[in-house]
Amino acid sequence: MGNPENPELPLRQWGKKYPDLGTHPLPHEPNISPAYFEREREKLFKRSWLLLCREDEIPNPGSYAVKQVEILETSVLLVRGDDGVVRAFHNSCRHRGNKVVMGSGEKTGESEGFVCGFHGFTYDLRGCLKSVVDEEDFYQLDKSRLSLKSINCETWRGFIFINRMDTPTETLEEALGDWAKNMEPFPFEDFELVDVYSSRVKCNWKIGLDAFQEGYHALTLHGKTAAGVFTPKDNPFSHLINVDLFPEGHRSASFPANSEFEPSPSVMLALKHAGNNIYAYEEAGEKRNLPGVNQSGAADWSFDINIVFPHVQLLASDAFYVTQHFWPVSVDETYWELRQYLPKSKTVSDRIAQQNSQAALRDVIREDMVTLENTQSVLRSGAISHMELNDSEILVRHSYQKVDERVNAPD
Amino acid sequence: MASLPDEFTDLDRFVTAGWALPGSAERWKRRVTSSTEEVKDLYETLLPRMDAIMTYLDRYLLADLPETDRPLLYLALAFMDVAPTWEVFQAADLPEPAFEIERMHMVERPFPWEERAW
Repeated sequence: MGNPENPELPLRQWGKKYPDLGTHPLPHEPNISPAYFEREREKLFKRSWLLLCREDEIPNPGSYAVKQVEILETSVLLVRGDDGVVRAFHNSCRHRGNKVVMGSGEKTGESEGFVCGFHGFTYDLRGCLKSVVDEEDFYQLDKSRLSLKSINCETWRGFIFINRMDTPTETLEEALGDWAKNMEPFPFEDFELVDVYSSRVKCNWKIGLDAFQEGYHALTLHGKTAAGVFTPKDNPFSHLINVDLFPEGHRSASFPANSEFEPSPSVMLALKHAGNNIYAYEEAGEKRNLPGVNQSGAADWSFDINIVFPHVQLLASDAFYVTQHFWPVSVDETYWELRQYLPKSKTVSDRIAQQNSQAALRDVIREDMVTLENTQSVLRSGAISHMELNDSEILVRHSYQKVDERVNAPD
Repeated sequence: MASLPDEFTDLDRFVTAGWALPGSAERWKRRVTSSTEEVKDLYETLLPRMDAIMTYLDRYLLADLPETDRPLLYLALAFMDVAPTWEVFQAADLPEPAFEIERMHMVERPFPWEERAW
C-alpha cells in the first residue's frame, strides 16, 4: 500500500494497515482552543455513550454513587433500585434543582431512598417522587410527573455507560461495535478492584489520554522501571505487535513481552506464592492466555491498551486490568481517575502479591503523569503548533481523527 | 504494642518503628518519608525472611487470618510496598521528576475484617 499523502515515503507497518489516517503532523489547536473544547462538550461528550464505572461499585439494591461529570455540566446519581436495575439520574431535585445528594465530590453509600436536604422532597430508589413536605401549600403539584430526571444508562460486561442525549442515536451495543465483540470474553469478574487514584491535572484531556496510548515512551520515560519487560531483543523499541482501530472510535494495541526479562526478588516471591504479578501470570508455570486480549495470539505478549472512545483507557493483561478516565473539566484541566483490578485475593499471599503490583504500577504511573502538565504548560505558548507522530503512535493519530470527525460533523 | 508471632520476633523492631500499618496509603506515606538507610534496613532484613513469612501466613485464608497475625501481614505488605522502588533505584521514592504524591488522592480496598466501606 502506497502512502496516499506522499508516494516518496513508504508506509510503515501500521500505516499500511490504516493508510487513510495519513502521516502528516497533527495540529495542537484541539488541545489549547477553548472554542474547540466547547464543541467537544456539545458534539462529542453530550452525544456519546460514556463509560462511568463498574456495576460492582453499586452492588446491592439501594447502593448509590454520585459522580460529578463536569463535561456534561451535571452531577450524576447512579442507583441500584429495589428491583436490582441500575439507573442514572441528574442529581437534582424537581422542586428547585438542589442536589438531592449534596456535596461537591464523589460519594457512595447505601440508602432506602433520597431526601433532598433543602425542603425535604423524598424520592424512592427508582427516582419517583414519593412525598413532599406541606404538599397542600403547592398549587398544581403532580408528583407522578416529578420523578428525578433520568439519564440513559446501559451496561456492557459489568461496565456502566451513560448517554446525555434525550434519545440516543445509537444503542450502547452499536456504539461499542466490534471492539466490544473482541473484548467480550475477557473475564473481568475474576479480578477485584484494589485501589483508586484521582487527581486534577492541568492539561487537556487528550494530552492525558495520549500519554497512555503509545509505548514509544517506555524506553525513555520508564527506562529503569518497566521498559525491560516490554523490550525484547528483537523488538528493542517495543513496536506494537497488533493494532485494531474501529470506526466507532475505539482502538486497541498489543505490546511485546521480553521473555528474557529477569524478575526482581520481590516479583519472584509474588510469583512463587501467588502465581501473579502485574508483569507476569503463571499457573503451574504456564501462561494463562486469557480470552479477549492479545488478538493476534502472539507468543511473547505482555498487555493490551484499549481506548474506550472517547476518554477512557483500559489496560488488560493476563494478570491485571486498569481503567483510567480522563474527564475533561476545561480546555486545560482534566479530572483523572485510575482504578486497578488484580486477581481476587483468597490467600494471604495473594494479598501480599497485590501490594507488589500496586506499588510497581504506581511508580510507572507517576512517571507517566508528570509529562501531562509539562506538555500542556508549554503548548499554551503556541510555539509548537504541531506534533510529529511515528508509526508506534498510530493510536494517537486515530484519536485526533475520531474526535475531529465528531466535533466537525454537521449539526 | 502488638508483637509478631514467636518465629518472627527478631523483626519486632520494625513494628516498633511504625512499619506495620494496615492502610495502603499510610504505608506509602511511611515509606516516602523514610530515610534511605531505614528503607534499606527494612528491605534487606525482610527479603531473606519473606518466603517464611508468606508460608506462615498462608496457614489461613485472608478472610480467616487471626488478629494476632495481622501485624506480620502488615509488615510483609510494607516490604512489598518498598520493594519495586528500592529494587530499581535503591531509594525510598522515585527520583524527580515524578507526579507529586500529595496530589494523588487514594482510596483502597478494605481488608475482609474491616468495617469501613470503600
